[in-house]
Amino acid sequence: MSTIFFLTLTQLTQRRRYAIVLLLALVPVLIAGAVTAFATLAAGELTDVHDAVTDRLLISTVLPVAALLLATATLGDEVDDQTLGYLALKPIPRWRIAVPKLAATALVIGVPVAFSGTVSSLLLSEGDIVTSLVTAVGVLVGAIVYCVAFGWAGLASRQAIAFGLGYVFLWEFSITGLFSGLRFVSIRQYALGTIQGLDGDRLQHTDASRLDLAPALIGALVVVLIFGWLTDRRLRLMDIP
Amino acid sequence: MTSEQPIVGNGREATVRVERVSRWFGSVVAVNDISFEIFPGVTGLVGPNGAGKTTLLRMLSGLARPSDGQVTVLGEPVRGNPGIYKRLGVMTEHENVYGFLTGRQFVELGATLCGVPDVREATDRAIEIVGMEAAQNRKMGGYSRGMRQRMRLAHALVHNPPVLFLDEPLSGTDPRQRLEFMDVIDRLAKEGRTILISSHILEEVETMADRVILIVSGKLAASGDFRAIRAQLNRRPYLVRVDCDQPRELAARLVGEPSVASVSIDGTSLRVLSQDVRALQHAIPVAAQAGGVRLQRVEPLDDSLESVFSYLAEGAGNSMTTATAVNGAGTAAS
Repeated sequence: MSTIFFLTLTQLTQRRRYAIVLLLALVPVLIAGAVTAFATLAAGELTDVHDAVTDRLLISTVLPVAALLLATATLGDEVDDQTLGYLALKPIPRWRIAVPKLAATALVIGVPVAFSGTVSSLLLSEGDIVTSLVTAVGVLVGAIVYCVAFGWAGLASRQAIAFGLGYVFLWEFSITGLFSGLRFVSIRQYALGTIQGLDGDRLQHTDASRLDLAPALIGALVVVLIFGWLTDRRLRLMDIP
Repeated sequence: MTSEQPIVGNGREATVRVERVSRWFGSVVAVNDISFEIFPGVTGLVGPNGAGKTTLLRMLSGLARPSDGQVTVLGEPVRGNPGIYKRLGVMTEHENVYGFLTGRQFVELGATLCGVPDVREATDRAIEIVGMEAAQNRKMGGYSRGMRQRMRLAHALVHNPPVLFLDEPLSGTDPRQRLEFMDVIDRLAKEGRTILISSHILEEVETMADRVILIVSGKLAASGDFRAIRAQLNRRPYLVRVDCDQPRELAARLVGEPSVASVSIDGTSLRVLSQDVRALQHAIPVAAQAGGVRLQRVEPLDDSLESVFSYLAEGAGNSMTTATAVNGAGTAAS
């Protein structure tokens, strides 16, 4: 599986889209740096800014957009480029194609965004390493789930970007805010729930109705398993171009 | 390449069986109730563009699901059976490659994914077979079309499969590369492999294949020994335009020839219809010489591949589905 994993790492990091992801990941760091350098804030206000940067910017915007750009391309571009056959015509079960590709995608997206979260949290928490690492863990949980879901979308539909945008901006931002029960089916809530579950002082001032740590992690695992299974199934049943 | 893979084939047992395979996309029937068998050696899958060759080859490769019927390779179903690719190599029609990989890395990728024990040795051998040693460390994004085709062939055969499916392998190659490619195919076939090559160029396949499968409009038009089918083609109605300085004189002499069905004069040219092309090829210069006629141009008017296939398809009528590949004997469905 390592062969396909490293092949996918190379594929994704050589795309122009990856430069956009890196630039996106820089935004929270720049904002945190600017706030730290130029703004004069009370301790409570700094916490509000920290939570807003983590929730609204990092988890709700940068992470899903980065996942949308790269995860939809992981398998979707292999279909469009007609290179998927080089992998599908080999004596390996289809899940051994899906798993390393999705894992590599989660790594390629998760590392820069988690690094961004770590650095921005370090700046906004006045050097609290634990807080920073917790932010990174939450980002990584979100990255894994987004990558598997959007990876399947890229394989299943040519309109995967539209599907992803609809999910992020309609479902995550609007619909789950209307009905608190829907937080159990929200990737954003899994990431936020992980952060708050590991650090109870975080995200007290955001409007998100968060999950506890256990339901957040279980929900994330369930979504990963469902979309991982759907990806394998799609690879087995589809006509490979 | 490793040598532990047995090269299957005594030439008498079918290695690929296609049983009543059909494929339709909505109301469009791309492949219609096709059955045949393929034996060790080189078999050509021929048909005009849009005949259904690629759809059929994709079903043979397991990439596409038949709407009906069954395909087996070496006795195993292909679709949903990844294990078969240990013994089956496929070169698809698509020329896209991972441009960021070197040719060598691309072949190594194939060897590794196929679980070849000695990847380095297998890669060296496969690259040597296609004659790409000098360019193996260059990125594939910078390869010419012909170079890409050769590296794709190396990728397909790096695990030494006894069965190879090649979709339009000569596409994009220059004349010298074609000859080299044909030589490679010949050598691979002599090792006992079953090789299926698709092409829309009849002459291209003729030089490589012993047997041929002709597909027209998604149906099997003919299959079997290439020479037997060629003979059948030679008996089809054949229209020739002849430009000369004395058309009436030449027409008068040709009308009496048994090979000529009819002659019409159109200004300074003749249109000659024949049922026996070989006899006509002989009769025209003989008649011209006897009558002192100076030939300026002799041109077949319907010698396109499409017309050949149309003839076979029309002759086949609705009974084409019974055509089968017979090892050594041609069956042009009619």
